[in-house]
Amino acid sequence: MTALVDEVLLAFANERDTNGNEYILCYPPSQPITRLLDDTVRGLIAADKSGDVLFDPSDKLLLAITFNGATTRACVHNVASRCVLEFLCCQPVIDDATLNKGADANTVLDAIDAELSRLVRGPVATVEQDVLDALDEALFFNARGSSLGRSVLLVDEISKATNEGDVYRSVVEWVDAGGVRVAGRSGFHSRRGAVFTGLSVQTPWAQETASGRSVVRLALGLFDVWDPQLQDAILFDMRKRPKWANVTILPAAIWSLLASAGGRPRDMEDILELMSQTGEHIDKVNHDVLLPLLSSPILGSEDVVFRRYLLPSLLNVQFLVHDGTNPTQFGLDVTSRALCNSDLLATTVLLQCHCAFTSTSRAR
Amino acid sequence: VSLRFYEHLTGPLKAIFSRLVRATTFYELSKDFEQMWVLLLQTHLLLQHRVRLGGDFDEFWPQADGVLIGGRPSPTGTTLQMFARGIARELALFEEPDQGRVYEAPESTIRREIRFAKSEPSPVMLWQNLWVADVRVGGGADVSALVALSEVEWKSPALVYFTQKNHDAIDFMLLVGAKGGSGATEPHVYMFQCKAKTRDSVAAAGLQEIVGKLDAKLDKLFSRPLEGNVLRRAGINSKKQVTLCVAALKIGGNFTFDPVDDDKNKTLITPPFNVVLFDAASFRGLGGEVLDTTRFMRYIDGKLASAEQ
Repeated sequence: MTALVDEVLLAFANERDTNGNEYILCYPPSQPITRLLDDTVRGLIAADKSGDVLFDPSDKLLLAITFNGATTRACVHNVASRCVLEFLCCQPVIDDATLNKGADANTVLDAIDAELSRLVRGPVATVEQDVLDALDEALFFNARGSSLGRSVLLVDEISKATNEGDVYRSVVEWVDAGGVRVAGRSGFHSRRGAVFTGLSVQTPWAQETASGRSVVRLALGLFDVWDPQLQDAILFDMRKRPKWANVTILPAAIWSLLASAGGRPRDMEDILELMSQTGEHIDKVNHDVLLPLLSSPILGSEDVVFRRYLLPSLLNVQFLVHDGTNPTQFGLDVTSRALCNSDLLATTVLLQCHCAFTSTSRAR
Repeated sequence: VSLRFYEHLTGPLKAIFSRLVRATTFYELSKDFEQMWVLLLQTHLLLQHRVRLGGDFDEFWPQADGVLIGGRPSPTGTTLQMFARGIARELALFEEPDQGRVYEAPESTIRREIRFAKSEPSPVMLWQNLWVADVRVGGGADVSALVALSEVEWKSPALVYFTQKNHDAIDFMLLVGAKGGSGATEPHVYMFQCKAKTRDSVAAAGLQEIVGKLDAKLDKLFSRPLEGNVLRRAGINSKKQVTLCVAALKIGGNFTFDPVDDDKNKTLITPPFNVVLFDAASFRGLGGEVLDTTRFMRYIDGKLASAEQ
């Protein structure tokens, strides 16, 4: 797993060096991945009998993240937000009264950034690895002298915010406002990044930030294809193809097919691409045409992939602990999905991801 | 987890799984529910056979580049539990439903074992009609993907699907145990019935109708004229050797196997055979994560959701 994550990391690092781009990582609406994040955080925060949170600085998890409750106008996970803040900073960075009023995002994040810079003593690569090992997600850190150069704001389940669009835009503005000059590179580059889970208003397909930051679609999350908002997003994407410019509704069989692809964005995009090549009218496409599309673009060793993922899933094989030594509180199926997703990302999906991003950058 | 890898199977599992993928993905709402259930069971039986005896046993359990992944130990041996409580799917065909959905007849149990033969995966046999002395091979059903055998014999474990339209009392069955066996190898028949799946709730009286119909058919089976029936010849001589499995997706919260005792209905549910009710959660468990988002599972989810409202 470690080697695979390294590959992912290297690929993204190379991509950035080559193109000079910064990324905003967007995760699609995905209950499993958000539960994964919740469990990750809670699993590493022990509580004694009195309910006081205990923090062991030797714990591996070093997260430059905060939950949404810390951003203005968004206060969804108060408890989780406090846990993360206190985990990162050892003590409340803001008092209850301030939090309840709605703390200023920059104040909170500056405090977290400072605390992280104090906490991190080892090589940056170790921090990266720790974070990736803990979350299986690509939170990226840069060196800035002896301290961290990047803060990554995690907005968990943003779709639950009362005004998702405002939250999203405020975060993007915060990311853009963090621009600094970097030696050897032209222009300003933000030291800040953002990860959204459950983003629905601004879809990964449609969004490009004003500052020209790339929105990278990672296949770490799973779409609920039956979600009406997501269906709108898929239709929006489909209509970009001249052949389907006027499509307003899809037959139920096509949603079924996309759902069977596992809800991973790139799988669905593959299928849509193949479907666009079949020459069939969208309203007349039948099951005999659709089903082969499901299995057409397979990368890697099929039999191994089958045994590793499909078969255990059908037999309900449950994975318990996957970090080697430290038991976590991951939900069993969530862990299974996280393993599948991260491994798939690092093996079969990585190539597609890389190619898709490269083509996007060139188009720009 | 995607179904996209389904084509990379080998042997009889490939045909049945392809059919399962098609059926779950493009499921026509409520249509051919019993065929879906047969497909799910047959797939699981073939999967179990493969992981236990298929030759690639050691490579089956997922690993991730040197990182030990936790989880249950891999299954060993050639036996599979039919029902087991608190046990993972790799060790039992069904997670045993909670006590409220299981009725075990006196001196009988739903918990039996399936024994896999090394050389022979579980077949599906097509019969016309069970309730006659001379059972004949069926035909005409659209079951081309099933691993079907054109014979009428006791084989274990084998699923038997009936090609006669409106087959009485049951939709299909699973044969477990050895022909003429006794004790642990005593023959046992799990009879599956989908009639209750569309009902808003499974009231005791409604179940009584299903139970009563099967009871009458079993009376006939154990009568002298049907001595030559294939089940009788295999050693099925008592209703205690039968378990009725009912697809009851919407089980009412106040359902009970206790006798109905009100003024309108004095009928008592005291069947001489076992009864197990499979609710929506049972089917979700049977389908597993990989079938989670398919249309068939959404149909079942819909039943469950409407039951909770």
